[in-house]
Amino acid sequence: MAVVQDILVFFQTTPALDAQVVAWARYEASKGTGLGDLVEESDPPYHNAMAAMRDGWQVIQMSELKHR
Amino acid sequence: MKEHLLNSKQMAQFVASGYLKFEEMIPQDLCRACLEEMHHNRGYLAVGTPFEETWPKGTALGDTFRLPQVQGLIHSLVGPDPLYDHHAAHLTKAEQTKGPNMHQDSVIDFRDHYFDIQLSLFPADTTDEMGGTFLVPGTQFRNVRTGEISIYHHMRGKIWATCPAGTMYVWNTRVWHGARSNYTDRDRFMYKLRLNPTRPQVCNFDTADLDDPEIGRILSTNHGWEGNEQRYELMQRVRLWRFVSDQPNYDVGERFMRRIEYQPGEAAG
Repeated sequence: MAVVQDILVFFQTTPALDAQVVAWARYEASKGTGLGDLVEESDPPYHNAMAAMRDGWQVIQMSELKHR
Repeated sequence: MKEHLLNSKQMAQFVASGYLKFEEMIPQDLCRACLEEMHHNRGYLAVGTPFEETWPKGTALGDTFRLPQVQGLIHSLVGPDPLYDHHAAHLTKAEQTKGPNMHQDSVIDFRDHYFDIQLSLFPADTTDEMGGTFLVPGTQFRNVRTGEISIYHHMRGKIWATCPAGTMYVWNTRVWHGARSNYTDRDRFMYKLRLNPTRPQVCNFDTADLDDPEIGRILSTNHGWEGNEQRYELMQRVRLWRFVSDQPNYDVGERFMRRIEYQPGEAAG
């Protein structure tokens, strides 16, 4: 299998890379194209984006989902 | 009726968190009869009509939602003479898994000082592995377009129904929620009934403890997902609390609302 992206999404209430993660999602293309069984996670895998960076993750900013 | 009304602290909890849980509210024999009826309960009744006229009589489900303790709950939140909105028997079959499906029930509802309630009855013991409905407490002030929030797979503060048979959850219909995987060999049912108020939802609960200082602390609950927005969420709750408790000047902390309402020109007369 080709090397593909696994994306870990952090949601924060402020944009700083050391801000607390309040929600998170995993889009792991290496495991398939859908998420048929969401296994509960009580805590995010990293407490903030910088902790993920320390573990080798590259970081991009995504567009914000605006609440109305 | 009065002995079954919510007290002010419970009402404040509903305003802050958007839900309340009542374990074993429904007797077991009635639960078993409801469960049987739910297998054959399909379709909506007449939407927007008086609940008392529309809701079936002489059935287990009909009787359940007319129990004094349930009527007290309904009265406390939506007041007298509510309207039937819709109902449904939600089934998550044995071994049925669920992916991300967090949503807010459609459609976007911007009405101020207004909320519908949804009663969720769990007629059988619902264990963690059975995948009871999940909620994210406190999200009722965040209006979104139905399923777009499924991008939030996991949120701090998320809770889910794990309860004995006969437990009733009641929640503001704007609370973000969804279904979870059922890892057991037993089907899981949740029966929901949505109701609308017919008049302003003011002081329909027992206000004897309205001045309890605990109410300010309840309204200030931090569910975990608010982050930097905590104070703004709190202000939303205070606005609703002012309305439902008929206290237009109610405030918390060092009077946060005053900071956006105080006008020196008006104060000078």
